[in-house]
Amino acid sequence: MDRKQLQLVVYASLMAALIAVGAYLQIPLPVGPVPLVLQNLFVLLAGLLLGSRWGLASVGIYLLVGAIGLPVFVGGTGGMAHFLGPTGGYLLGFAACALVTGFLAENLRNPSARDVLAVVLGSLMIYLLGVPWLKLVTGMSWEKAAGVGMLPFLPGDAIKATAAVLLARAIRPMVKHQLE
Amino acid sequence: MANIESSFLDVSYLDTLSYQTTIIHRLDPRIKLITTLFFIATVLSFGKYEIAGLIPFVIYPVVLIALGNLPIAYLLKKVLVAAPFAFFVGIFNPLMDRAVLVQLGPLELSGGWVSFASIMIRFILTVTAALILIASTGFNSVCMALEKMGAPKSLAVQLLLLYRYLFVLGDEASRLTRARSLRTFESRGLGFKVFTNMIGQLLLRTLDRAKRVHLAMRCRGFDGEIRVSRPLKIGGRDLGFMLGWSGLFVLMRLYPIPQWMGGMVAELLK
Repeated sequence: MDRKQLQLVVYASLMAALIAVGAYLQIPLPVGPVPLVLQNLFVLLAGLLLGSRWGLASVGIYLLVGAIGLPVFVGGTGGMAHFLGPTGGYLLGFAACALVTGFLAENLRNPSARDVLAVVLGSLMIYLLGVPWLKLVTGMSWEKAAGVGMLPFLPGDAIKATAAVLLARAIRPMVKHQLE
Repeated sequence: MANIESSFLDVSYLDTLSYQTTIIHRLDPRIKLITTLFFIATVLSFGKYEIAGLIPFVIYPVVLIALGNLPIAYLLKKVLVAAPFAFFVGIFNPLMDRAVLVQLGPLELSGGWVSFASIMIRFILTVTAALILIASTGFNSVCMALEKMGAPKSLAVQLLLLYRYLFVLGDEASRLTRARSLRTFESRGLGFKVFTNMIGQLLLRTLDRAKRVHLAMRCRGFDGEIRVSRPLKIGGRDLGFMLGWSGLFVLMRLYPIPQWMGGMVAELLK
């Protein structure tokens, strides 16, 4: 394992640990009953800072330790049953989110629009997998599944996406410097 | 909100159980990993209405808990914490599958209820087996076993690092949360700005730690190879454990042992 790969492994593991810790950190919002859970923020940051490959590795390893039972999912729980339950699609959506965010952040040319587009489409991936899965498992209608599993979280997601872009812009030079 | 300290403390307790030296703990981690995976695959291979065929599989966790000196109440509590998710997976079955499948005297059980019970039994068996594996082997040894069995080195290293960082960052986050809550008199310090500062702090501390960990690993000559003080070696006892249990699982999968036992009891009662 060369120096750069080891460094990326360290970063990916730390990002995965941050995603896990993010499941425990909730911020009450002044509007609406749904608090901000910071998991998505760190998933977006994993994609933005580490790119598609290592961002996906980071989320993948997080999902793996959650699947084997470590308490890293929201509510301090873990286990394979999460993937088969109503929230399984959102968990798989995290992986898709990191992949898409990372890919766009790596490949788009326009630097000012790059991060914004990456986090918007990345966040969308979570719902693209989460809402149909929720509908499938619970037998809800499309309207209800979107009403329960997407709409209440959109204001929070907008805040997280903005925070992810700002944080990535501030931290990226530091990470790049360390990786060089 | 779940308590970060108690959750990770719970996990570390599971890991400390692996430091015992019982006959189960002394087995090679690879053997325990393969046997557990085989157990899980066998349990999951049953049809969706199977209940009786799953019952004999209880013997595996029971024997391992007894021989491994593992606290049964603690393991059951851990299984119960995750049970609601399995419950949600199966609870819609009785609504969708209403055809009567079993008649117990006056009681009629639909296929949905039977498949729901089957899901719950499988869940309990597989989760208990996974918990026993961690409690009798330890997370580090499981990662090492994965690497020795051909899993990519970077995956094994990443798993090991993540396991370590979970506690480190968990501590970091709980320190930040505790400091904030100690200063929140009259609902002050609950503003958005405080939280953003907290997240920024956490992120900077994480990046700083990443740099230090990387440098420390380089200084110690880490090359991606996971090394342990006690080399892994598969002996006759290990092979006996794996082949014995695997043979029993195949036997229990292929033959209706509960029916045989029921027949024997009926014969004896006659």
